[in-house]
Amino acid sequence: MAVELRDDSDNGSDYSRPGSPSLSLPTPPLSGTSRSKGLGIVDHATFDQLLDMDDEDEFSKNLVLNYFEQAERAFGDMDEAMSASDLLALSRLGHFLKGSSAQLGVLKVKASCEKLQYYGQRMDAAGQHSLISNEEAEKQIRVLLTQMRHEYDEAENYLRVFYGEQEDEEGDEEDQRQQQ
Amino acid sequence: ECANLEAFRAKIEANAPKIRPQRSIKNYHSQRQLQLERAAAVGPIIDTSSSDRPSPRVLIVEDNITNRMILRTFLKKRGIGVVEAENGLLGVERFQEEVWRRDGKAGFEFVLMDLQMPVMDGNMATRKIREFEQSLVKQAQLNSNGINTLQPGQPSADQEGAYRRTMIFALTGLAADEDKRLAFECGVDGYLTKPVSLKTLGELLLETNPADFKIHA
Repeated sequence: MAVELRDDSDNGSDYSRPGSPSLSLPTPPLSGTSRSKGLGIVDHATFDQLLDMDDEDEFSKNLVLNYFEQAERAFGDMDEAMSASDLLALSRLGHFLKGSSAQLGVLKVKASCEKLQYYGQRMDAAGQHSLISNEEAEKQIRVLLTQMRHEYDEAENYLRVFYGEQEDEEGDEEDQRQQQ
Repeated sequence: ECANLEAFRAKIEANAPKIRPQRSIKNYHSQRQLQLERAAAVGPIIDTSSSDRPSPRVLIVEDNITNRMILRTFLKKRGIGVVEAENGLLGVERFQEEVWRRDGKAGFEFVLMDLQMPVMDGNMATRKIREFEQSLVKQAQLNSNGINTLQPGQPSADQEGAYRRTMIFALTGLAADEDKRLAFECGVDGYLTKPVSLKTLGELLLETNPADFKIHA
């Protein structure tokens, strides 16, 4: 995350304005890739700032549940757009889900959504303006949607276990194996 | 092709790591409680105790409801009033309504503007807001010169001082230099890349807060 402010060296404006800020704020380090924090599924440096806002209203949990609803709707819309070969709609949906995935720290879904955004505009996965054909874009998106769904299921499972909505069955089995 | 997709999916599932969150929400909050007992709260909090100071208000222009929820809660917990708009066109309308609410003296204290939105994007909305502000400044100058060209029902600008320009911060995932240049050209004062660090946003609000409301850490 970076912050950048306007460099106001031009004083020809009609507005009375506050003094031009010139501070440069440091970028907080991301630490979500270690296995001890999020296992590459959720970036806790991003996610934990939401937990810091929790109150009796369980803000972060409601936010996550809202994200699940949003994602399910988006996946449904993506399937429809795919059936209609509507690449631009797929790009918009990718951009939309990318935003909330990024703000929650859901890393893999965010990365795949970004690729979907680019493929839908017939760019390559890195967003370079080398146009690919509609057929190639559809082919890439078809594979990507399956991958994205799996990544989302993984993230959903992780977050539901985190909030105690679901038992961590695999983790319990691993504990038992380690104890034997 | 379906067989290939199924094989691909099976391969992913077979190689998927065993997922186990290393902590739960309960553990997080109990650890956090211990930290808070030992340290002061972080992040700027608006001092609304003075009755002569207006409550600060921020306009959030963002099409993603999840992101709006996060920003809204963050700002409200710091005593800042929030108005929301889900696209640039509504954002411009909400801004104009706020100016009318304040008798033409100012808009919001801050505007947080997503750049990529449907209907009207953030760059265009910023440009429209700046054009509107410029018209208010010109009106204020005309009024101070004793020339009243106001139509009935229009708000009057403060004749004792110029209109106070609103700080607009772009919130976006676009990071290319060209995108930044365009945003500044349209009139934003700052640029934050997503995912937004709320701590950094809080510090930014603290550093750049307008003169007529007080934020203290």
